[in-house]
Amino acid sequence: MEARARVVMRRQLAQPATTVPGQDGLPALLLLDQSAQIEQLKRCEPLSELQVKELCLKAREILIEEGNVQYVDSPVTICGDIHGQFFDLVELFKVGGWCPETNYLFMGDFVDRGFYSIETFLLLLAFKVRYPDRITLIRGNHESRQITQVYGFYDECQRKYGSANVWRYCCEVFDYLALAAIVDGRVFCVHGGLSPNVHAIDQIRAIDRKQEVPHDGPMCDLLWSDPDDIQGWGLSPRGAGFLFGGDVVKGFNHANDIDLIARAHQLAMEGFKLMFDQMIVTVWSAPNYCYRCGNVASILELDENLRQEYKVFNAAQQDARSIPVKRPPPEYFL
Amino acid sequence: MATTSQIPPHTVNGSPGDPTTSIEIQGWVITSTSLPISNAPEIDEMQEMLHGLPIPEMPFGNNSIALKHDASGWEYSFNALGALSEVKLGKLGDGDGGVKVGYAKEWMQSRLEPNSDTPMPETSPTKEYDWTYTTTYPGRETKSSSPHLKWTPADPENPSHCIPLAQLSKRDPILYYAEIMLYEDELHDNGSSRLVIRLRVMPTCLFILSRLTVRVDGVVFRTFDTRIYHSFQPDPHSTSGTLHVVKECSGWEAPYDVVKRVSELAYFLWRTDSRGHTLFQHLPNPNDLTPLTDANFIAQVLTQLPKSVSQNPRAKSGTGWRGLGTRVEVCHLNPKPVVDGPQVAVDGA
Amino acid sequence: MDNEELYPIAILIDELKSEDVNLRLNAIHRISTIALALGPQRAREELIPFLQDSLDDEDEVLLALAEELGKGMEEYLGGPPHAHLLLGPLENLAAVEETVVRDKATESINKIAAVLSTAQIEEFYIPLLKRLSTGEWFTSRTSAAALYASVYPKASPATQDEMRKLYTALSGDDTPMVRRAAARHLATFVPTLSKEQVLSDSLPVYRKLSTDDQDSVRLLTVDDLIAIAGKLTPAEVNDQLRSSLRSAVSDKSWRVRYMVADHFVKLAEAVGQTLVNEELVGSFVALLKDNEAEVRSAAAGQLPGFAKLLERDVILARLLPCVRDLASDSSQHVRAALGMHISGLAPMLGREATIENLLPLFLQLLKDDFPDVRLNIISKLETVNKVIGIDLLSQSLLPAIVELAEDKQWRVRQAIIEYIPLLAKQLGVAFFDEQLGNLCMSWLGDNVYSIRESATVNLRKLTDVFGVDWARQTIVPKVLQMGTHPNYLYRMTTIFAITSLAPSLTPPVIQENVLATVLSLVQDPIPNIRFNVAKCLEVLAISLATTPEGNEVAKTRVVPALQQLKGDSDPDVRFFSGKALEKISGNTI
Repeated sequence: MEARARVVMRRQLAQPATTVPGQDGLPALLLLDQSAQIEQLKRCEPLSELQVKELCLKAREILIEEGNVQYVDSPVTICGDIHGQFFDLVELFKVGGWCPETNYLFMGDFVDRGFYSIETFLLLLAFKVRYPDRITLIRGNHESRQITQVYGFYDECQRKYGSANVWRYCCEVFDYLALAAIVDGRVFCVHGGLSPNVHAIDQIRAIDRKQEVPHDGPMCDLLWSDPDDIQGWGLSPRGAGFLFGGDVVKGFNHANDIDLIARAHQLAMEGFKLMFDQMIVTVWSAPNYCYRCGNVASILELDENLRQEYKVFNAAQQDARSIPVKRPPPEYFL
Repeated sequence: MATTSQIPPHTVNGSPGDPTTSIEIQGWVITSTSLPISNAPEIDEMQEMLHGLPIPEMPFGNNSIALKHDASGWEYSFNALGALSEVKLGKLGDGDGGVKVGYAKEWMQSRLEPNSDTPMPETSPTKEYDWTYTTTYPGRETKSSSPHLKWTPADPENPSHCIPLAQLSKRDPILYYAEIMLYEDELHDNGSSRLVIRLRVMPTCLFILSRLTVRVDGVVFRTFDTRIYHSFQPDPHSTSGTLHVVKECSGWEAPYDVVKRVSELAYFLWRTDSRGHTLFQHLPNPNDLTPLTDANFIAQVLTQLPKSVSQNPRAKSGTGWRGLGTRVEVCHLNPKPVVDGPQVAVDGA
Repeated sequence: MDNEELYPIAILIDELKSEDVNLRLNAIHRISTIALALGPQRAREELIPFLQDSLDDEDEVLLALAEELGKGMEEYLGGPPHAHLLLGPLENLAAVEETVVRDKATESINKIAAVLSTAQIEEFYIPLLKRLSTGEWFTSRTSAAALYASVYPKASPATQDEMRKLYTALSGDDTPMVRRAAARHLATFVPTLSKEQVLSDSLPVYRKLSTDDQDSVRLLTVDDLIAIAGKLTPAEVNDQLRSSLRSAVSDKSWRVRYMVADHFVKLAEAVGQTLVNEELVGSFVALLKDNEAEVRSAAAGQLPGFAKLLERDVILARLLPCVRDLASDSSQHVRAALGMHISGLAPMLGREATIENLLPLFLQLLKDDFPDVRLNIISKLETVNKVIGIDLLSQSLLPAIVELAEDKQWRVRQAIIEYIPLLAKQLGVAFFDEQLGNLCMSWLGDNVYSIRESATVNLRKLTDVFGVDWARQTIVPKVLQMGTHPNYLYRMTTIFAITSLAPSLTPPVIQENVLATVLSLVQDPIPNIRFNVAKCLEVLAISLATTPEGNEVAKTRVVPALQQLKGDSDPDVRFFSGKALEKISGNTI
């Protein structure tokens, strides 16, 4: 029966695409196809749901091969939170250079809060799939099912695709992202900070990372903790989560023979904030955060000699951002 | 068409988008300033002035709304420093309404179990403060405000001692409008705390709403509203014919789950027509919690709950926060006293 | 009925009832397949009623259904004579509370309307339109407004009369959402009416909507005004619309005035020249002086378009004083909008008047504190150049331009760079080398990537202007110098610059002055440099191959280098060198 054949055929189309080996194994045609996808995403044009699904599958194939702590060679440019501010991400690339010419390491919080979380995350992911050696993505606390349901990414997927499928595909990728990275063995990069249960970087490797971000334990700490002007470890007044002082940073850096911890996670009005004798830095890459803070953003360029240069940049021009009204209209509030 | 009340003469200075704008009307000068968040040196300075209180992530330290009434010398302002100075610093006690994040108990337990893989390290004390940045700050008189003007409890029998919502619902033209942020903090991705001040000057009155909205995911919703109303016409019930300002402060809170459950229903009603008719008997997708990040939405739900739930400091499920309930006060804008002159009697006494 | 035949519909029903939204969605997306399996008769008799009954679902499923029904579904029901059957489920979808679903449903209904016969329209579509237009809930009435224009020309005169009455009722609805919909769709409905009907029906509807209580309704009527004016003669416009036009311009809500300002040129074109001269010039001046910055910005954006409709004397006497005020407006956004559009006035003013009136304003705006203003003015200088000539422009503006070339904002620097080749052409090589030469080279070492990139493109354009010899002596040495920079991003600039210059260089210059440096970078420790070397060698080889000697060099020096890179440890280097080799072998050697 012709009709039944059609049903079956449609069903087969919906099956996951076949898996993709390493880049060298990819036919050139496929790589060109991916380059076309990157160009499309650079223009902030959305991918179809099927394209997203395939991209996410390919990304998982690549990310699964990465360690919990990904080893990265210098030179590399380190970036902090982006939060769906797509046009400001484009601005970042215009200042720092595009991938693959410039190497990048993004320290998480790609999504939520901005208006273009989907386009932002997919562009980064498309770079990762096409140039896995040129870009490293590590996980932020917003790369989580629970957080994205509250802070906008879920809603954006529903709104733009009329279903939550794209959100589901992306969340599956989140689970595969590395937890940290280390550049030339000297610069440790993580979204939040340190954990009292991680003294040696090697201990991070024992974590089973392929899961939703847990509410406790070292994986949670790495994505959530903050440096603070205290001695040793402190409990957050919120009742969960750690704060760590300068002596902890000093001890960690000494024990692991590293020069610097680069982390993101906290807004820095000046784009970056060095603490504790420059042993730790917060890098913030979302200018005019939430489209209203008026802050500048920065990226940290590490050259091949690990010389640090912070590049500060502003939000993208207004006409490029296409954000809704810039000031609230008068309202008959009561 | 809207009622066309007589529009009194007034001057608006600055245009929308400017950092500072003001209006002069009926003997008042009202100024609002809206700028980006404070920079690092400003934050350090602010922290020092606040005796070390950790500053919210987004402090709008340069923003303010200031009111000045020439005849009486009354001056009043809203700013972040003032609001944060009324946030509890130090160990939280009864009435402070302190809370922990939703998963605090589990988190602590996993660390304290005898055979925990991740035992609690030795910790040093960290600064204790109300990390939800709850404040009952209603704005304050400035230092240069006339000292003879005092707030007194409103007379419940006097109809001009309340916020006239019906009057304010009229669509008279808005002569001047301002909306400024004082601070915002995302509570380390455990919710949000925001203090926003809105002001509108109408042909017959001025009206301010200062709204603090606190959401702690899985734990609590809290709103603290201060409404300030002033009619440019003298109080018709007053014998002395003086002007006055009404201030209504109200705090509400409810457990997160109560608001979420009710709002699933409310969200649903909200999207239907004015008669409340619904076309499909299903709830919206429970995965989408976006409306719960909308301050007005939260206030709407909290105010619709029974007061025994949302304004009861002794509620079993509550935090005992002292900000709950509603208080109304008035301030009579008596003219500046002549030096050593007798105090003008307050009416209604 | 045997079970085999029942199978597809059974799957559909099963999946439609599934807990999993995905399965339900899949089922909806397969309805055309199912319909095909059932055959036209059963699709009509079973599937459509089933769909109509099972309409209680998540919005995303309803959205999918609304879409599928408009995708030529009638083909599976036996063709257009049965297309009206689809209106049933769509009518329900047009009444749900989710706007996205309703919009999709009305879109599909309008698609179906296109294949309906006159008889079907009278028998099925019009009753649907009546039901929706008089529905109990505002949602259906809101949807109804979108459904008039598509069938009106096909309806009988009697029905047409009725339709206009219904639309009039919508425009007086109690619910502002319905009135908004009526206002939004009037502009598409009006063109389908005769002029008499516009005068007798649309005009009163417009008048009512344009004086609505709510500014959100009024602001949507600006398009309606344009549509109605388009149907009338200038005299009729004058009689019928002049006062409405006046009230819109002076509406007490700035959002309405903003819409007027934003649509001003279209409006002016629709109402005709007499009214433009007698009325609109004054209105436009009022908008340019509006209290609200948004309104002034929008009006500034319409300056060139509106000026085109005016005599030069009028522009000078009426508009220019406002333009002067806007140049020192207190709002930076207004000044930025002016900066973007002011140069568009130059062609209308002509050379003398531009020099006298606009040039001082350009200089003032070039020094504005707000970078967007500076940027906008620079990016539009070309228009002015055409009017007053580069000599005068560069004389008067060069000092300001040199200052801006070192602006803190990289976008301002970039705008200047893009303007340099044009200046170079006019200034001549000596003057250029003296005034701007160093500047052009310093951009190569800029700390912003986009500036470095623009600087390399600029060098190629300059080479095209001043010739290869100039490039070899002036540019190439400085470019090569950067190839030893300790930071890979700056070494990359050398590669980019050579890649960009290559098409403008001759084979001897490539061979003697450039190739050695590029080949030395084959050994660079950083893979990013090596794969860009591969890309560069590809371009160089193609340039070399234009002469036999050059082709020989490509064969003996370039190809071996690429072959070495093809064995690199880095996959990206291997990929780009492989691609280069493929390209070269296909093209040349």
